[in-house]
Amino acid sequence: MKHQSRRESVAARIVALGAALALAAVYPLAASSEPLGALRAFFLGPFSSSYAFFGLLESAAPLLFCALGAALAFRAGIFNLGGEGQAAVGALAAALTVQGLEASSLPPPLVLLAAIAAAGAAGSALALLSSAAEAWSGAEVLLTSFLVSQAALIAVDWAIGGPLKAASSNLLAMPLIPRRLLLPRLAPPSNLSLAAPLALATALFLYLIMDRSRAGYELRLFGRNRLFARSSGLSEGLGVLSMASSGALSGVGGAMLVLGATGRAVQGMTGGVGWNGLAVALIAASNPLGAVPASLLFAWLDAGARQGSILADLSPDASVVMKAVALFLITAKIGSGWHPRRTWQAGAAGRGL
Amino acid sequence: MSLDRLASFLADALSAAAPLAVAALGGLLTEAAGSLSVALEGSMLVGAFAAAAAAKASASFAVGVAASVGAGVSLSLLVGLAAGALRADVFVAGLAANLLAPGLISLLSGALYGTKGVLSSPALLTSSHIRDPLTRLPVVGPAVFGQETMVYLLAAAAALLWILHSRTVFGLRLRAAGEGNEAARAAGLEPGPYRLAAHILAGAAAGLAGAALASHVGAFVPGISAGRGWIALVAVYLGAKRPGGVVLSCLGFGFLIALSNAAQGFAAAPAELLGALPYLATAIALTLWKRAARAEGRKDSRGSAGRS
Repeated sequence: MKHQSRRESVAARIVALGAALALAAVYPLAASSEPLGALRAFFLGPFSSSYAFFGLLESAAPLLFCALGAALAFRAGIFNLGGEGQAAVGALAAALTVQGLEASSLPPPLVLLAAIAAAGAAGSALALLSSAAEAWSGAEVLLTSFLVSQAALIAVDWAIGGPLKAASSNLLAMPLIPRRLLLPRLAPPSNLSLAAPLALATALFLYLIMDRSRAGYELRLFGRNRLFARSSGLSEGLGVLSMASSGALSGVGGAMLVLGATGRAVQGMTGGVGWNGLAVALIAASNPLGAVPASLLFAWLDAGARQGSILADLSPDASVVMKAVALFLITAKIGSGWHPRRTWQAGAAGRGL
Repeated sequence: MSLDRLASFLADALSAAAPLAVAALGGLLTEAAGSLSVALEGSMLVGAFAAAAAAKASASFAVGVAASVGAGVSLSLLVGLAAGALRADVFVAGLAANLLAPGLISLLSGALYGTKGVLSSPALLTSSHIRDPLTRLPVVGPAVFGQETMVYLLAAAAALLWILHSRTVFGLRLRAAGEGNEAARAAGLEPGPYRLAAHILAGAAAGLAGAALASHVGAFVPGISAGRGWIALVAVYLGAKRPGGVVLSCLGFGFLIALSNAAQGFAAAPAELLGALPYLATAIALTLWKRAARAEGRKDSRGSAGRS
């Protein structure tokens, strides 16, 4: 039974994504003066060169980290809507750590590790504010995580464009990080860095934890029904732990932006990676392995829209619309019996729909 | 603080609270119908864009406002239909709508105007009633009677939504639909159409609120909604899901926004950073309110108290 329904759900998701891609194809056909060229640029552009393809892989990495963060919280029945802000504080923490350790004699791998750890800690701390508020007063994580993240985004943008801004640059950005302190590039001259394999390994690791271990089973139990979980001896700490890890993953996602392709902290650099991560997690039904193709799909649409705007007369924003359409179609197929929905109803909406 | 500055501070607070209140009351209708829409943010954004675009094309304020309502309804209808006919998760559909809105706008803006930036639309500006006799009253005069016309339009819309929710048969049935499918059907009521109606009204309200944001500056600016739709959602909770409470919460937010605007006048505080204040203060207010509600054991906190 269980497997049957899971297979059906996977099939339904693939059909929905196929429909989304078919709809996506309408745009180049309708908007371009040279429809076939635009269509080719959009869908095949990202695969036209190893440079473009590796760039696609690299841009999927921060997204995958944020998606894994969202998925982990979903599993525990928690809506962490603060991924965007958590990624931003993570990016800032990583940039500051590298800046602070730049003059030291530490070997580059240690500096990178410290930067990633700082990013995780920063994202985690931001997420834990919401857990603390919930424990103390029952304020909905759904709302506080968004509000705190929004405030953090404003503060991070202010810091990067203000006191931390590189004096030598016209960009609203912190100083460039020296090449040796960035994640190693795997296929120069492309942007592909260690970020992509790191993200993939994290997805595999989380799959083993979340879907193949006792802890993962307990987490799911906890997410389905907190009262029942408590009566079976599971502690509230599980929720706090998963929120902390969720924030940490988003924070590391932010660090990948800084230490990977961009090479510095720039104002507004998260650019929706947290929200898109949430969408990817929803499309993947909170499955860490499913998040891999889903984040690649999103990165593909982004890269396609970029290629379409360079090689043809398309808008680079087209991908935003396509991603939203994909999410719409997926959600329409989900139906009932899916746990975040119940959480939203029972926890946030307060009564059944 | 001089009386003049107090008056302009109050005026600022009221004009910031008005669009929030309208959007939040729209959100309250969906909550009452048992299908809370998180698409307020997206509806506000498309409302603001449609208002600016339509007013630019027609040079008419009324056409701009009508377009904002139409755009807000369209986006919200998408969520309502997905949640109703397609049995989608209303929360996820709302998120999708919020992701869709900025993409759609920059796509349209690029195609129609060749810009993704500010879309100036002077026809949207409404005049302030600074010369009316009532504004001579001390403090209250300029704050309450000296607002832009748009603010009074919002006040009227808020009053209408409030009456609709609490004083009409439609509102009663809407709330019955929110008691759950079984309960509603037992009362001889098919809840689906009422939920869809709630989504339509919420879209109209949020769209109008978006038009007000654009009207205030006479232009559409990317990201002009800046999380206000989410703040309106928080107001639904803070206001204990009652219209009076919701409006009161929005007045509180308006006060906070005015405070962060006023604080930007002092040289010592970095202006950009103060923009974070309303969000932080809202999170703190929500937490404190929940704590107080839990301490009093009020029934409104039952759901979350039982959860944690």
